[in-house]
Amino acid sequence: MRHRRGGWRKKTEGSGSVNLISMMDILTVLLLFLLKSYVAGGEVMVPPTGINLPSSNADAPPQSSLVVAIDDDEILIGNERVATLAEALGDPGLEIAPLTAHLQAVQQQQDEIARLRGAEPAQHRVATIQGDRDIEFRVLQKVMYTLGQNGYENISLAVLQKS
Amino acid sequence: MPGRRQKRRRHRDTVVSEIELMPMLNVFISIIPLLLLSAAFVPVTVIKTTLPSDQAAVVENQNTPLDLAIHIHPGSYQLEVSGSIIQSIARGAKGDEAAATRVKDELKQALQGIAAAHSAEREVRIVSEPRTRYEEIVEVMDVARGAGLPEASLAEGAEGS
Repeated sequence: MRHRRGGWRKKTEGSGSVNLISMMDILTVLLLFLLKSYVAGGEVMVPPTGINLPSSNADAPPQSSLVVAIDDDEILIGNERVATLAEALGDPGLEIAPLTAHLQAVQQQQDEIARLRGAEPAQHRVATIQGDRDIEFRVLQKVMYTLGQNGYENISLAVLQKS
Repeated sequence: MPGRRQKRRRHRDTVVSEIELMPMLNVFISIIPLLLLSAAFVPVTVIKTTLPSDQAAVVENQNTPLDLAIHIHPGSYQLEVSGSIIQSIARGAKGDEAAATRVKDELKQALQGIAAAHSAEREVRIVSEPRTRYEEIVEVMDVARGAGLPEASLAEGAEGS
């Protein structure tokens, strides 16, 4: 009987250690693949949820810039809602006042950061518009005009690359 | 004596060969979901464009040899060269993919003809109606780029013209 118990204990001790090497291999490969996709892509741009970017065969990579997102009912900078489309379209002029106020606040912050670093404030500002494929041109035009009025002369339109 | 030494060495080797993988595994399991959540599997690219400014358009017209514009209307594309419409291409019914492809090919051929005749020309003005969908503008930009006119500026045209 004693002999049997001893044998059982030995068996359980042997099967207790799990072989993790194969799992580690898979995870290492997956990690390297994900890290490579970051390094190769340079600036990674992820559109906010709810925005379907139009597809295009353009291949210019995105650059580091201020991102203005336009979905079917509001305008966002980063993840912050700036104005609704109803507000933007309600104004008969081309400039969107809440967007201007927000852009000026962003500029002040950037200028302050540049001053603290001892650098000159940026002269040519860059902006990228992430617009939903279904927005109307009049909205895009107003956003572009407002950006232009606030010193964002270089404007890019974000699109999904066609495969 | 030599037998004892060998035994001791073998025992030591057995102890060293076990590596503790759990901390590394924990790190991997934390990092991978984060990377997977933030990864962009469909690459986002950009189209550089200029502002829809009336003043800029006038200045550019004086400098460039040719003022080329594509008007996007709900029923047709119109090609304008130096102020006069030279060609109108009827667009197919909405949802008709075959007709849309045919129309884009026709527009591309027309633009290629103009680009070949004016090799210095690289810019095209895309004139949209206020309610033109953004996707339609991007499609026309793609066609123009494919025809050798990579620099697109946007402008507004009158509705229903």
